[in-house]
Amino acid sequence: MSLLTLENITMKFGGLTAVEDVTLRVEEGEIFGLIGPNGAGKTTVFNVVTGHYKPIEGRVLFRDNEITTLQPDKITRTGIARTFQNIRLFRDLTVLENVMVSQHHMIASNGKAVSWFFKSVSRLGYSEKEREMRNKALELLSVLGLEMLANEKSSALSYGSQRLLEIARAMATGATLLLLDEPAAGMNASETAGLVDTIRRIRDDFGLTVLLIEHDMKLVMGLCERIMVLDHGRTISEGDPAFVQKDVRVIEAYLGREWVTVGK
Amino acid sequence: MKKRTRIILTLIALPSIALLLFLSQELLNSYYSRIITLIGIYGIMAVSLTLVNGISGVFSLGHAGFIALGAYTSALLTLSPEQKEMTFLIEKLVWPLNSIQIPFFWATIIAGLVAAVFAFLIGWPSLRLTGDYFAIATLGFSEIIRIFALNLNSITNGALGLKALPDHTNVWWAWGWLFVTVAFVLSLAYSSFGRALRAIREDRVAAQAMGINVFKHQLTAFVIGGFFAGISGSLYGHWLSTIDPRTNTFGILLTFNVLIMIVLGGLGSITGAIIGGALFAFLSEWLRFLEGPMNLLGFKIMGMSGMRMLVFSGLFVIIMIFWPRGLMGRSEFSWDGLVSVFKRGSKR
Repeated sequence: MSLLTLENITMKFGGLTAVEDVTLRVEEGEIFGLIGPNGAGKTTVFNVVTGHYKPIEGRVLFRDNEITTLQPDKITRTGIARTFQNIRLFRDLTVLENVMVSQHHMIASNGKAVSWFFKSVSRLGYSEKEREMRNKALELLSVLGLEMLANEKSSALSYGSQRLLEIARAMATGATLLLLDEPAAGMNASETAGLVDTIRRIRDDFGLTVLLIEHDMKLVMGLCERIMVLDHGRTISEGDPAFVQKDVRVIEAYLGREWVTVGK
Repeated sequence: MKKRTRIILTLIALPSIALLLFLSQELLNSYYSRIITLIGIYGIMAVSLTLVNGISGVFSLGHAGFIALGAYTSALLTLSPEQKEMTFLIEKLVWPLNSIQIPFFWATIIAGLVAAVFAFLIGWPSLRLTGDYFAIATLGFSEIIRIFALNLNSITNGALGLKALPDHTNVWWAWGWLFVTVAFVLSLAYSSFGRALRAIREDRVAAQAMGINVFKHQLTAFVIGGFFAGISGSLYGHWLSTIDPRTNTFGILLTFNVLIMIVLGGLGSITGAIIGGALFAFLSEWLRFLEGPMNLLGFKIMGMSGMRMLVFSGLFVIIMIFWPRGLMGRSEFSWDGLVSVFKRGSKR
């Protein structure tokens, strides 16, 4: 049983086919890379998995349960959380609050919502829960090295820290599968090196599975255990980093057909 | 500052406000005491709208609709059967409204509940819209309420309106309800629920991706906002002592007045909403002197009606230039904040 399975996913926007017949399996505990040239459909795949788009064809399964038609918030509650390519933090909230927001669904989900609502209005037995959430948020922030910035507005953080905060926020949802959309975009070389360690560490320490999109090939080849390459919405290659790097179709997609023949 | 000090200061401040209100009743004439009551009513209107527009980021323009609903509901419940008999000239009031009279407190609660039910009915379909579209939908709703009030002769007495409402609303009712509203909205806004609302305001896509059911949260906030708008409507009606469906009493103009209050005070700040409401009530009365005849540098000027509104808008423009995010921005009153203001002052 794979953790996440995409079966023959096709996604169209009007006449444009963004993703065509993509099948993908992510096993529990692995770090899986999704790469491809710009406009290949990588982020569309993410949006299909997280429920922001409903695919025209195909199914998405998470732990063998179909999640294709669920709303994004329901999907997050089943254990999939994501970060965004163009950072989408809650800018006017503090770093700590950003992480605490992600835990909200655990106390306000079905059944408990009403009693919890009265608790928070009357403040009876509420502060304990609040403290619990705060401590868990602080713990996650320290894992990502952001605990010193806990009370800053999230918009005041540097670009690299904002990307890390997005990861912390996604982890706080209690997800077991993290989807990272270009986590290293805008980071310098040393930040990227730190990110590789961080992703590996959180995978090991928290028992997570990571599916990531990235353009930094050094990061992808060094970090991912398996890679899938998309071009024009189709899968053109899949395998371990060494295999993908040598695949003629991949080189063709990135550098053009001419380069392949010249290279030969 | 220690938490205990803050609690003690708050415990001192609340009875002090009550004492000041009591003194104002004793020492000031009824005109001033009416303005102080109005401050309380405007405060409730502003706080309930800031929960919706400022904290949840749902841009509603239907506030006057809920206020009108509250005003009509409670007026129909507090007027005596004999009075109703006299007032309803066009058509008789329908049963059972024509034969019941209940105390002001319960009438106000029911007014809030009726407004909340309508908020739910409006919010359920239209909260699927976002931004400007939602604003237009709610604007339309408040106009529908007014048109209904104008034409539903057997319930609202149509264009004649309701007259000679018992003047139940005094300083204590208005400020008591203001206290309840602020306590409720504050504890809600600064709980995990309020944090989720603010997250939705900042970025609804990201909030949904973090497991928050955006629709349910916004609907809850909208219904609570509607409830307190209904409460304020009941108080406002019994303060005015007449209710009629004109645009400038319970129509669109009222929505925009409340909107001015919360923007002036700082969109998203509950303290700001109260300050905005107080400023609005105070200025709109105080500036009345501008409309009388004046003696300016030896020239006699005839009184001009409308002059007040001109200066009023001018003042708002000036405030928005110097405080673009409103007087309070998004921050709230805190004892530490107050202390730091004084410290800054003494250093100069």
